[in-house]
Amino acid sequence: MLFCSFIFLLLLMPVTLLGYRLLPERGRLPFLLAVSVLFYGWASPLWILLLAFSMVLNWGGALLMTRGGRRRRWVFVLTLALNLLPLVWFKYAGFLRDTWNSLAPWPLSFATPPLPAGISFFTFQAMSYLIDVWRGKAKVQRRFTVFAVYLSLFPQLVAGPIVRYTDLEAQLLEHPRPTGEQLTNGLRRFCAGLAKKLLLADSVGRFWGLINADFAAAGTLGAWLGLLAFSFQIFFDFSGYSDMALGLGECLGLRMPENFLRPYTSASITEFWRRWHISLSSWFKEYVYIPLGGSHCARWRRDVNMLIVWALTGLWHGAGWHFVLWGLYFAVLLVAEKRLLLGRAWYERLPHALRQGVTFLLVMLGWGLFSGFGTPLLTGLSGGYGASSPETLVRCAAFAPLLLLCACISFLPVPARLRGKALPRLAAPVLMLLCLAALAAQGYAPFVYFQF
Amino acid sequence: MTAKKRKAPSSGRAALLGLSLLLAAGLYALFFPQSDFSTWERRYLSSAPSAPSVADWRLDSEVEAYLSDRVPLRHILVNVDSSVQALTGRRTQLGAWPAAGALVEEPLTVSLNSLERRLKQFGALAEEAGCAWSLIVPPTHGYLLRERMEPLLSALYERETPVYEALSAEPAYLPLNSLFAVAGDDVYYQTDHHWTLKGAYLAYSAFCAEAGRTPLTLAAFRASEYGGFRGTTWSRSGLPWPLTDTLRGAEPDGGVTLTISDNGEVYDHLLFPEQAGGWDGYALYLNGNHGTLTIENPAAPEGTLLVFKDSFANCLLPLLSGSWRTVIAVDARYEGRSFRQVISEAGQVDRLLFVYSADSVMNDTVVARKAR
Repeated sequence: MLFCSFIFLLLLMPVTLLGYRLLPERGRLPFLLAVSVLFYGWASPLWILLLAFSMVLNWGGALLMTRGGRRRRWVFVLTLALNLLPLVWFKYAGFLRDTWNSLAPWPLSFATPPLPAGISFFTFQAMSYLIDVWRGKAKVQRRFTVFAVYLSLFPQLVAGPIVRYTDLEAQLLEHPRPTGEQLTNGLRRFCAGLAKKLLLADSVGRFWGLINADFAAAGTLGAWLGLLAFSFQIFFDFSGYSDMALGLGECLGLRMPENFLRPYTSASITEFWRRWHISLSSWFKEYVYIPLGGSHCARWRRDVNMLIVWALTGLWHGAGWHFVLWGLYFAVLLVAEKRLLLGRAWYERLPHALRQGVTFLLVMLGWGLFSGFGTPLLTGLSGGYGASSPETLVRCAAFAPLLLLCACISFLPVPARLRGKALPRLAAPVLMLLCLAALAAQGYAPFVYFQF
Repeated sequence: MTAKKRKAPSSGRAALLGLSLLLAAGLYALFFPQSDFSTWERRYLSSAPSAPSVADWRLDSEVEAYLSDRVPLRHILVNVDSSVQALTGRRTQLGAWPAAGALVEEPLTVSLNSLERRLKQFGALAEEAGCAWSLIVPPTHGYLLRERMEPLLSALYERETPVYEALSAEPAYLPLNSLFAVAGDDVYYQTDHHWTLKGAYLAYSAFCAEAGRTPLTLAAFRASEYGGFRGTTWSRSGLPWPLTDTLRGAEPDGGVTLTISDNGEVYDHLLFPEQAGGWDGYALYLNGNHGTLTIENPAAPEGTLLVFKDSFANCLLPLLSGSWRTVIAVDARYEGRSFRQVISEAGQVDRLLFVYSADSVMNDTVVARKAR
């Protein structure tokens, strides 16, 4: 189920939030579990089996590890492997088959099933719990319901943020009735996120769709504006989802870590990745980069570690070589930035706007790689298709005000008097009305990050 | 010095009220279904979800489509969204958009090769019928208004020019563009893509002159008019466009017989006022679209006119029946026979007329198939 669907907005969300407030304390967690399972299985009931497998595997695996003894390591390794197995099968089997077939003279032939929503998110979340228990950083949860709610919590189940167990443990164990303040602020944040998704991301996404349908007609101007639109689409789509997730969490009295901190205001690639999809960057840093040696090793080794982490980050985003390339592109930029720019006086003296502009340009080109359009997009960007068609010019003019609005929201600093403040009181119902209107008129498009 | 007043924490009452309203809207949509047909969208709404099957799971998409179609105040929500789009510069993303004071459809998808094929097909059919033929392809409303639009939009419609230039090279084509350009704004409806009675009468007069017949004056017909009409461009735009049109029709003053072959019904009139106030007001003319219909008017000069047409001809046919004793009209979309079959079964035909919108003549695959 998607947040931006009528079934969620008009039925499941109000029933859940009202029900959670009305229920006595002992009924709240089972209720949340039931809602989360319904939320996940609504698109395909068979996916519930996969989620249940992950719940039982990780809950049981962690319990077995506490028994200690020589088998502890084996239980840990086996549970980790069993976590990765469905992810590899559902997400990467087709990619591995195609890669094999393009290289080897003995082609493999097997069909791959559709990718279950959010499998990368909940698998990584489960693995973080398991690793934290293994390292002794998290206590084993003996109550299945508490662990199952942690893993399946519907606000962040399908598109993050990837929440570590230690961040939620105490809140899940207490699960007090949310206050009126939490409900109000949570709903305001949810409305802001919904508006980001439906009013901004989907709208600029339509422009990008028109451009990428025919790069030759789009010409140079169309290609650049299209890529700009895609950069805004992916940001507002994903950060909008995170806002909705965090808002719903707050409505349930749960505080989850921020996932985006105005990333397009970054003045370096390093800063960008501290502000973009923070929970994933933290995950890779904590569970891959640091175990590989982190930055406490030789410089060449640190650079190799970066390449490994970023190749894996690319692969996490999708099963395709262009995702790997996208990851490596950022690895190279980060290494180059660390070695050549950051900390240098002359670089720091450059105007912030210039560094911000260059950073955004590099990120935008990265999204070009990410989009998978490769050669046609590159030809368009480099002027290979020449001038834009009249249709493209009309489209560019039509979407220019929206792109400008997206740019203002993305790039400009928040005025001091608005910083840290929730959405004004009247803004939430107005945004909800506009979102329902957009949904009624245009249908809905799946989240970009839903497929990861 | 007074202490700064601290804002009291929210009680959450407004949030609870909002959630209750959302839930009420959802329950209403689910348990108080409205009519299965949307008159303002001119379409059937999604049906209730079927019994779910795990092997073929479609419950999610079916429920979503059902709720989306039946959400309370949907018409207003669509109006709001379309208005937001139009106000933020994205009017050209709507199904039809306001330009030069009217609602116009998007520019044609130009396919000159397809047009050339169609003209050859029409010529071959006329040869088979053994009579002269004419072709009426009215210019689109957007094309007519292009010079009054802003430059970018104007350039978009300007791309239709080669279509009319290619048509002008065909001797059978009746050039209406210059006639319409000077006739004023009321040759097209403001809320519909069809021409008005005035536009149809201009085409009728031009065709009669071409066919060597003297057109009747409009006063010679029995005219009627019905206000409050909102057509397809209004529906497609989704905008709360405040204007309505007045449907005007004209038919020979008595003595006509209209036979609709689809259902065998026979009428003694060509205009259907009861349709004018319905969801498809354009069905005022000839009771809507039909496969084949025959109009007999004993008071008209002798001759049989065979018309292959789309809905543009519906307003024109009553006028033509004032100048031809028998008018047979065939709409490919509702007629099972090919045009060749129609011609061979029609008997003696004195003249062939093709009346199509530029879009139908180039891009309608049914017309292309039936005209082979």
